[in-house]
Amino acid sequence: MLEVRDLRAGYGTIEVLHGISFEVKAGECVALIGANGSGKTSTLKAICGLLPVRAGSVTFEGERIDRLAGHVIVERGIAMCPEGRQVFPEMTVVENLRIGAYARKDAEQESDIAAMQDLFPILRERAQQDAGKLSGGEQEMLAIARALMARPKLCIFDEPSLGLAPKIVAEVEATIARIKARGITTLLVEQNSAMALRLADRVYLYESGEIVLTGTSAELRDDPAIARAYLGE
Amino acid sequence: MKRALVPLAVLALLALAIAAPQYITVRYYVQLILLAMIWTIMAHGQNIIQGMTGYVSITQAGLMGVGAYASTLLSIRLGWPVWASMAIAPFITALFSVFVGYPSLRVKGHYFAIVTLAFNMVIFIVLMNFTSLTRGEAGIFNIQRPEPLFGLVDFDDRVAYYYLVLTVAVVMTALTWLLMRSSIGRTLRAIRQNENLASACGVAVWKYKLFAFVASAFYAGAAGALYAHYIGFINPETFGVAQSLDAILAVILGGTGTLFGPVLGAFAVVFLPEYLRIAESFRLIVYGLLLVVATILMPRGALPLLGRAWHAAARRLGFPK
Repeated sequence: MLEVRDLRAGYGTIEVLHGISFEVKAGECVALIGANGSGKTSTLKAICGLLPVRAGSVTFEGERIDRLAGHVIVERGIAMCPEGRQVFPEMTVVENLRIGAYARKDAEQESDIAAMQDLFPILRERAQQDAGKLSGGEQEMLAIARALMARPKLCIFDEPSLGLAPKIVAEVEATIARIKARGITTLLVEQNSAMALRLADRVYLYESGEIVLTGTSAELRDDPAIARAYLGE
Repeated sequence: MKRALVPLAVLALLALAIAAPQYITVRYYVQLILLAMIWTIMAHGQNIIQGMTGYVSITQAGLMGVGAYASTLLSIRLGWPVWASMAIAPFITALFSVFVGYPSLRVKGHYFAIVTLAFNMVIFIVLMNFTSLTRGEAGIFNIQRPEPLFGLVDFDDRVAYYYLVLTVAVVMTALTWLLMRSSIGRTLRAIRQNENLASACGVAVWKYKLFAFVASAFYAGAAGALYAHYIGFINPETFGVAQSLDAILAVILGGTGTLFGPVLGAFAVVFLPEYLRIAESFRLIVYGLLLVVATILMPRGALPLLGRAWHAAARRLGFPK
């Protein structure tokens, strides 16, 4: 579904991605893990058209998307849930959800809002509250629901567990598991590698702008040497 | 304020504005109200780009100048009917702003403010030095009022012109209201709150920002045309950076992003300096001090403050919420 080949990108004169290659097949959950500053978020930005691609290619459903503007990529069916629980703080929960469906033209948006509120009951309880007044965990749920409102073919989550209490992290994990169970293809970026290994089918490990290791979650989990060297156990 | 009371308050204000020239006998005050209504139109425009979209533009008076000179030159140099010149001026200003907005909206935040500030200066310098067209600092005299309407309404009469300006101000306020309630208005607010997220939701952000800027220019152009044909004399002085700052102030003082905040703000920036004439040479110092204090005490403008005061009063008097 998504194929990244020899991707190079950077900021100013500094190149931060030195030829990244990976793929996400339909129905899969793939995780990119690695330390701070290893290039995971930059990869996502390059896929979403927010960071110019300097070399290599990004292909989505057989078509190149690495020269397209960000909003066109959204229309193609890639939704991004940026890091840091991003919501529109002065809009109500329902308004936030509605804007998530911005790229859609169909008439089923209202029923999708109800479906999201079934998935996240807290969003029904707080429907008319400003998103800025929700707690961190609730905002993360809203951010995830908003991304799903676009009915994406591929849903990208950037550090969904960042800065949340352990109990809420477990909740977020359960949510992503449910989304995966619905058959939505997901690409997950996480520093919390234990969580990523539980959720993902396959994992790519980043180190300073390169992918140094790849395999199924089970393979990486069961290899004690890898766990010691890269996963901090 | 109770929701149901808002339309009533608006109607009351409108009735007051319609009756004003009849019971205010001092012509000077009628003129001030008229100017404040022209400023209201300009402030509405500023509110679209600054209040709704979150991009502070410092060129509203410059754009007003474009509208004023466009209408004046069309009617004087090309001999167009004044009505036609006034009607086309906002469109010329809007078109003009497309060429400015396109490059300047590529930058964000403070950079946008600086680019528009420079643009206002460019307009000012061109108006000053392109003397064969604009007559420079000396300005253009004897700008005509619009032709009589159906041979009945004579706009050389100040009160008739007052009602013309009132009509345009009401129409522009209604347009702003429609824009705020529309999906475009919602998208503009989304851009103000979180531009990156809006773009991640699939919004072609730059198109909306350009729209907001061009719409604000349209309002400025309308205000400029109304101003030129009322005063009958224009020179570049009126359209400098200082007046653009007044437009920004009107929005901040009144209530950023609200519908009636800019109305309140426009009246404040027209009336306050006039009233402060009693302070003579300390006028600007007192004005500046008032603005600083107002900004500290009412960071979101006067309108939200009034709303809260109303709530508190209603609670104390025991009205149900």
